[in-house]
Amino acid sequence: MLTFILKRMCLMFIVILGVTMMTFLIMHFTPGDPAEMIAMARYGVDDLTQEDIEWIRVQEGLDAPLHIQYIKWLNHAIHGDLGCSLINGQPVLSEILVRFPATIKLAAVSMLVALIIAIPVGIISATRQYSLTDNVSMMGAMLGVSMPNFWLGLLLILLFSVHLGWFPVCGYGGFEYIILPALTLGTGMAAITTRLTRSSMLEVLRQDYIRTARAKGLSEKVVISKHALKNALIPIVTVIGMQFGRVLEGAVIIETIFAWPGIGKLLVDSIYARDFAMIQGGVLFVAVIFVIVNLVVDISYTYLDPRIRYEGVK
Amino acid sequence: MTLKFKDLTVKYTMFDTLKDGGGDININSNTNINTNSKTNTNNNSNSNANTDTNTDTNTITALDNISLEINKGECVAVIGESGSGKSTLVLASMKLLASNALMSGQIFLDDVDISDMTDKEMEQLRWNKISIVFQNYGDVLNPVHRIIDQVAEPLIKNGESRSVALEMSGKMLDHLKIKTGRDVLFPHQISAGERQRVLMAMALITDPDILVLDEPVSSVDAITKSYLAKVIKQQVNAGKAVLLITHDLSFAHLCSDRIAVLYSGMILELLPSQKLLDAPCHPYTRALVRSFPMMERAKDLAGVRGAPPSKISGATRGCIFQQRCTQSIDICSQKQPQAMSIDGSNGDGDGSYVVCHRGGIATMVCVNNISKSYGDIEVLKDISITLDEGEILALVGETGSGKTTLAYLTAGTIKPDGGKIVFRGQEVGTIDKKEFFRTVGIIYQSPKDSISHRFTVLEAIAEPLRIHGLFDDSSVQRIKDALNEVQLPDEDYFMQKYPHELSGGELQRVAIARALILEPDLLIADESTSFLDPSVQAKILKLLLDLQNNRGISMLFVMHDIGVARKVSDRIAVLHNGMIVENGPSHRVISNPQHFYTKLLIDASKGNEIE
Repeated sequence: MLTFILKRMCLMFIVILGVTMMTFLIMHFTPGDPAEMIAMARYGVDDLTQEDIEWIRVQEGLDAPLHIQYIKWLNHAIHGDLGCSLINGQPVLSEILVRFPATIKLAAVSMLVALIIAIPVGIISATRQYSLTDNVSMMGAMLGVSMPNFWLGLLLILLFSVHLGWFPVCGYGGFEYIILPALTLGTGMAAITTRLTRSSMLEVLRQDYIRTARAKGLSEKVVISKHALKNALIPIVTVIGMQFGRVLEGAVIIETIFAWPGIGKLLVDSIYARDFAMIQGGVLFVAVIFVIVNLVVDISYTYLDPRIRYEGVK
Repeated sequence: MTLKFKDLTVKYTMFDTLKDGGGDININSNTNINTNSKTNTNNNSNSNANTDTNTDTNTITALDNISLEINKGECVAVIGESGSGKSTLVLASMKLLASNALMSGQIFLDDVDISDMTDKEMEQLRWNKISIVFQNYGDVLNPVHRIIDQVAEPLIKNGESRSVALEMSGKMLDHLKIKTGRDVLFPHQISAGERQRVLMAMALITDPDILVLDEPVSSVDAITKSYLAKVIKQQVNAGKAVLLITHDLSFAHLCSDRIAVLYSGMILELLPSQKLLDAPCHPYTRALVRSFPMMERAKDLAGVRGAPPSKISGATRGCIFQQRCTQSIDICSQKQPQAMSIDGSNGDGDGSYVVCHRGGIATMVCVNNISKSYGDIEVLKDISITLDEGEILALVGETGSGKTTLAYLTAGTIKPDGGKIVFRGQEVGTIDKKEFFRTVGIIYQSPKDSISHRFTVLEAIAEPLRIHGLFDDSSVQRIKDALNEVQLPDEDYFMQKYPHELSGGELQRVAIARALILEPDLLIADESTSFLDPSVQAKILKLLLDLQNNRGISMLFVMHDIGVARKVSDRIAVLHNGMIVENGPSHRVISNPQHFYTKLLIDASKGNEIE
């Protein structure tokens, strides 16, 4: 098990390295001179002189060749220093840590929403294959998958905030603030997970051990909950890990729409401001979280399926 | 408690199967019938025996009118090839059939008809009154639960506390020789043989009155098998009704009281177990026995010739076994046979029956009290022996014992002094010679003498065709096929060769091809391999056995070597001084010879010195 984790850690490191390198490159090739953007942000458009811009370029190390810039940044990052925001001078890490709880809160509630919808609906659909319930829920799932979540978010705001006035339009605060963004993020995820639960469940229900369980005179409830579900969960759990990446990705848009002060919004704001240090730091942070979540999922997966626990990973 | 199937028929609708396996493939049977109405009518008029409705042709018959009763304290085995419907019977016994199964008929547990029960009602019976040892295949145990939990589950469901249930399960697993400490493992961590015993433990844990065992020994070694046999016998002795499904004939023979032979969804024979190996009645049962490797038997394995018939409902007319049968007659392809009691009595016998128009394996040749003398020398004294359809009989004895005389008498080439020989119900002497020799082929002791040295290979093989006026344009091809069949070249250069240009083995094969060219039903081979070297002998014997199996013909081997006889024959008759001193199934004659002369022959064959 330990070698498995260590192996995965090495892979994680390579993935993270790749991600940061890609971001670095992409940011460099976006139009606009970063030194000029930073200078504008710091001193305002009116008093800006070419000297100021050049001074900032030298000051922030933006005049060095690209690979030198990257290696310098990486060296610092490895030592736990993600640098300071180019705009407001705050340390990147502390800024991210301030925003992080909001994102985690949103992600967790969204996942919860997704699972609460997906697993029961998926099970019911599978046990009543081709029934009306099944068809309706599969149609709903199809709709959920194909609907872009920023659009759904806007619709939800229109209905629940503007017309009905049940929830605040946007912002961060108590429980009522999280409902709409979590619903928006959660339903998209629920759609995919429902379909997966259904197909996984159908596959499992066809297995011989389900027939064995039925033969033992167990009630349908026990057959489903004890014998089928645990087996059906194996692929679902894997996908949940990947879904988490979708949540973080979705958070970028959803947090912007709902003015949710999480990492997603921080990233979008930094991109607009060409705050390289912040973008790099944010992406690195998100990548690390994503990879760790997937590692946790893989470990839990091996506990869910004893065949993997003893055969695949020793 | 008894388990009783009455007129049980199970059909699977095929379109549902397609729908299940193939996603959204949707074949609507109605439109199918409408668009093909023309062809459908044609089909129906062509095969007017097909009285089934159109919807019926869209189903596969898995079980057809099965009636079988398993009494308290009795084990009934059901044997048959894969696909014969054995597992469907298992599932039907507990109403666990797939959703595309259409079931008719009744299933009784004692007097309670369970065929109309709902799943809720069945839950009360399942594992309490009847339990199944499922076939140990794939994931029959849940891969994510520990085996002891799975064994204990039915007890917990019945209200037992978890700790007591686990303790009882541990004891049961112990009883089935699962080592302590291994009971907490997961199914994939134990061997296939252990899984088999876990399945058995799981079935026995609630002590049900009826046990259904589906291939309970297919994945265990011989020693475990005999232990499981002991466990099953204990259950039978404790008054359980046991239905044993297996393709292991010796296990069925060992454990059961009666055996039902299932073929393509129908029971072809029901017989007492002790008769399975030595005296099966149906040609199919015999073919199964011949296919099964058994310790005591030396004869090469044969397999059942041909393939099972189409299972689409209504596809087969007449007897379902007809195409593979070694003794089918005209009626077999026209009418479905009815069950016939084996002992001739109606109902008051032991209940065994055979479903065959000919009342089971028919006798082909019946030799009655034959005697023959050459001058003063009495060669055969009052001999009686029979040869069944599709059977291989070896006549064994020392030279001069009368073997060849008996063979020639059977072939009708010489006449007996007394007694009579009956071939398929007619006395040999009275049958039209030409007709008789179209059904009987002979391979003589010496091919050199039996084939004219003036004939080429082609002419020699064509001779029987010419005699019977059957030689025509297609005959050369037929001769080439015959040469291929005996593994000789079919090129022109070879067919133009004369006997003296051929080796002994080649010539013998030409003689075989000649004997087989008229497709006889009986082949008499008189010492046909005795002067060949072992390698050629082995090839020719294998060839003859393959031909016998593929064509389903009867064979009479005349040989002096009992060692060879045990490899090729179903039955051995030992001739000594003009009398048959021993006659029985080959394995019995070899393993337990009764007559001193047989013992002598066996001893001599082993290379021991004879006093």
